[in-house]
Amino acid sequence: MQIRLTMTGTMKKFLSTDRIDLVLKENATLSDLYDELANVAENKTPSAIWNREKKRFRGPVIVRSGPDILKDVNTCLHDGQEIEFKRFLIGG
Amino acid sequence: MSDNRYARQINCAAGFEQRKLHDSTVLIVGVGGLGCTASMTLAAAGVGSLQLCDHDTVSISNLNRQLLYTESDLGKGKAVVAAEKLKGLNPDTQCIPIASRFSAQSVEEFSRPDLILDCLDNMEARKELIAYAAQQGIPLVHAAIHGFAGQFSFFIPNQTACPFCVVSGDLDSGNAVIPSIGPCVTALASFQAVEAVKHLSGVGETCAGKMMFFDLLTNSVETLNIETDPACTACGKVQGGE
Repeated sequence: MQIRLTMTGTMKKFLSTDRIDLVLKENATLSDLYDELANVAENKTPSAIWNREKKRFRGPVIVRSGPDILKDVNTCLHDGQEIEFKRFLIGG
Repeated sequence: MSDNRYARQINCAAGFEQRKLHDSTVLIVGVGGLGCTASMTLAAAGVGSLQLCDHDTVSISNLNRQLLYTESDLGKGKAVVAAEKLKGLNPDTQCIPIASRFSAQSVEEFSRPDLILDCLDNMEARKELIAYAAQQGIPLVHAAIHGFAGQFSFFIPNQTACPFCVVSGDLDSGNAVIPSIGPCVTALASFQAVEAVKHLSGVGETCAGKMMFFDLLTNSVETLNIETDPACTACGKVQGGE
């Protein structure tokens, strides 16, 4: 199935792109998405924002699909879903 | 309390009462970029008491954005210096330095605040502060910045989502220095202070239940409606009903 990722805010600046399209297996979860993102984009992603060991973004993020916030990595995804990644800011 | 000092703000909104600000206590946690400007504007506006919590000392790299400090303050404790400067700004405002890291114990000897400002710069300390606000039932205004970007939200325990309700992933961001420029920090701190003034004086609408995102490099604004997560690692123990 096809999933479209959109990167907004500072995430877009870090990754130098605002859109990544991924092909995932049927019934894929958010965890599967991260694994595929590692395969596709890890080498282009600065280590400041991507943890290669954990295959996750480094630091807090906000992940949402439409009005829904996705926090559980076991969340099932569906074909054609658009998922937005935004960095939760930290500095003060 | 001098009426002349506040003459220009008395009619700033229908129902605005200066007395309510004067009778209020605000705990500001973190007196860095956000905390300096937020405390200055709240003191100037006539908030009655400011509790200023910060364990850090002033360094040269702070001076591009932390407007209470000058080169003569280098090496001095931020909370103590800030309290002294703010007393000069407005003698009506009682300024209490708390020169330690925030913890429930570090603030227990002081009077209960009406509002907390999260002006921190790391997630672990934020989580502890928000959990404290949730447990104590004290509203909190959150803000954070990164370069020209910023965000803020207003958390009312047992009523609205806290900032952590929308967060996933690793709280540890590594050791990267967060870029920070004075005008952007000042803008976000001012939004934070506006939320505080509205809440304390009982006028207007706060952004409770929302998180506001700004990219001042492109002048873009986004509003995210946020909902309480009963499993939230910061407020969940209280808001999840455990």
